[in-house]
Amino acid sequence: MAFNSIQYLLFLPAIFILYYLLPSKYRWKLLLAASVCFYLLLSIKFIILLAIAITVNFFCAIKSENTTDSSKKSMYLHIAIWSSALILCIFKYYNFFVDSAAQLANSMGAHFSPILLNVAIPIGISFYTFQIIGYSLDVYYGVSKAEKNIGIFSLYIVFFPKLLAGPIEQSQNLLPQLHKKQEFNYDRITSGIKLIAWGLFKKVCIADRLTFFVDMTFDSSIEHTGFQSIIGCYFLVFMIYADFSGYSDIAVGSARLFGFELIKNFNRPFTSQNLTAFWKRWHISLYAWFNEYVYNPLAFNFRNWKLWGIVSAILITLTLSGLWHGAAWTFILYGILHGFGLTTEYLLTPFRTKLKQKLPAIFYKYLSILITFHFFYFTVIVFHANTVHDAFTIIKSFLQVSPTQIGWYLFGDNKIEFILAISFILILFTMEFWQSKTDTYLSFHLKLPIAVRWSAYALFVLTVVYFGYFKTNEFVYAQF
Amino acid sequence: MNEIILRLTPIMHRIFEDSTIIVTPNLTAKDIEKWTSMTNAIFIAEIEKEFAFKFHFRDVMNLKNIGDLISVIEKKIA
Repeated sequence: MAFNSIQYLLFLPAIFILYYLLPSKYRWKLLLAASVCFYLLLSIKFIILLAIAITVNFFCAIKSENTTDSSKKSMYLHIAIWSSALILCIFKYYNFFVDSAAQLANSMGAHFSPILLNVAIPIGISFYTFQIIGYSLDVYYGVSKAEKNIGIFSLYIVFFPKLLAGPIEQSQNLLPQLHKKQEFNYDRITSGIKLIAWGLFKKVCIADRLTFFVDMTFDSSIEHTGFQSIIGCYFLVFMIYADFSGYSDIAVGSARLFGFELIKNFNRPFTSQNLTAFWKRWHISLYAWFNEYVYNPLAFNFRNWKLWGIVSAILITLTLSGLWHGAAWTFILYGILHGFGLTTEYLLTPFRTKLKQKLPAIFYKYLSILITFHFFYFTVIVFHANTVHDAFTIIKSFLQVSPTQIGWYLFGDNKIEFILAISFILILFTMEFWQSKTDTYLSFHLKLPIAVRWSAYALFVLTVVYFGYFKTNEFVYAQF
Repeated sequence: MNEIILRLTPIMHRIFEDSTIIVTPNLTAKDIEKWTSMTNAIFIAEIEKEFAFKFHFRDVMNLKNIGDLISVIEKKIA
């Protein structure tokens, strides 16, 4: 049941009404049942993996907390982490690594026929596995208390708004909220509905519209002009942003209907002046996870290597974060490129500081934003391409640009769609700029007269219904 | 506590390249521009050298401010 499906638009209000009709002590049970049904409707056979991961981590965390013996604490942590990680590795990475090893062996003259698994990747496995591992580490390090109610703990893992593609919730944020009594709060609920509507606009009006142009750009059977490829790759950046930030808005908005505040996953990433800032604004929950549970322990262990310790920790962390997206060399290369980008940026800090002092502030700011954006632009081509070779073919085609290619014939018969896509992207960034001037997300319009506000709502809904694509295209990150 | 602050001050001035930093128990990483997750590891290594002990990762994972750090150092050198 995708967020942009009719089923979800019926499922969500139904659960919402039942939730507030029930006495508060039963509400979390309703959400748990709804979340399990939500997952079962998508994947019956893989629910057992989810149940194993939840059960093992729940009991190991309690055992770890109850013992003062550090070797036993460590043993329970290892059981919890490796049981979850093993499931992830088998289902998501086994075929890739075995197949890569076989190709390497065969290229060196050895004959090796690997036994590959013929199974699909369990839905949401990367997201819930990371959340579970984060929880076990938090309990081990004493950051969080072990949850004693297996029902509440299960809900923390399977809560349907964030089960399939995050945000990856830290235990300190969501678990305490699940224990609180949630009252009906009109303002919170309406802000949730607006966020869902805004997320849907991003998905169905922008991301799904751009998919057409992006697919055309990445279709190797079509010959492209340089200009088409360049524009197509800009559309790719905006498509992924609209798709995933749209998904995250619907997730946060849906959770808000039930009184819960999930982590904000995006914060105007394209205004970042450097990569370090970019990774604090793009897929925030994933990179916070990698920072907390991978980079920090690595940097700590490598601390005596000084500069090289930091460089190694960054490179390993970013490579793993690339691999997290999927078992493919494109994702690994994407992570490595960002690792090199971040380390280069770190090593060039003295030079950047000098440059900042010499150049006019406004020029330095926009130059930094442009460089950061275009670094991401090139890496995202690698991220999206089927193979590393395809990515380089597209980048090479950029050189075949000539002024005669520029014009309204750009995408043949799809001029109207092209103009609509550009218009909606402009609306998206104008709204984001406008909302950045206020403290609360999507609340900038509340001071407008009521007639203007409601007219704007009506116009917005009509725009989404009329111009949206409702073919239930899958969200990009739901595949991971 | 004062003696630890006196010994931490030159380390922080050097690592975070800011000689105006006034070290107090309430000081946090957010208050110092160059106190990032990158410089933090070097800062930890310098403290270990200055006070001649080794941290465990668990010791530094939950630190909220300089006051927490001082408490850990006090325990380690006691």
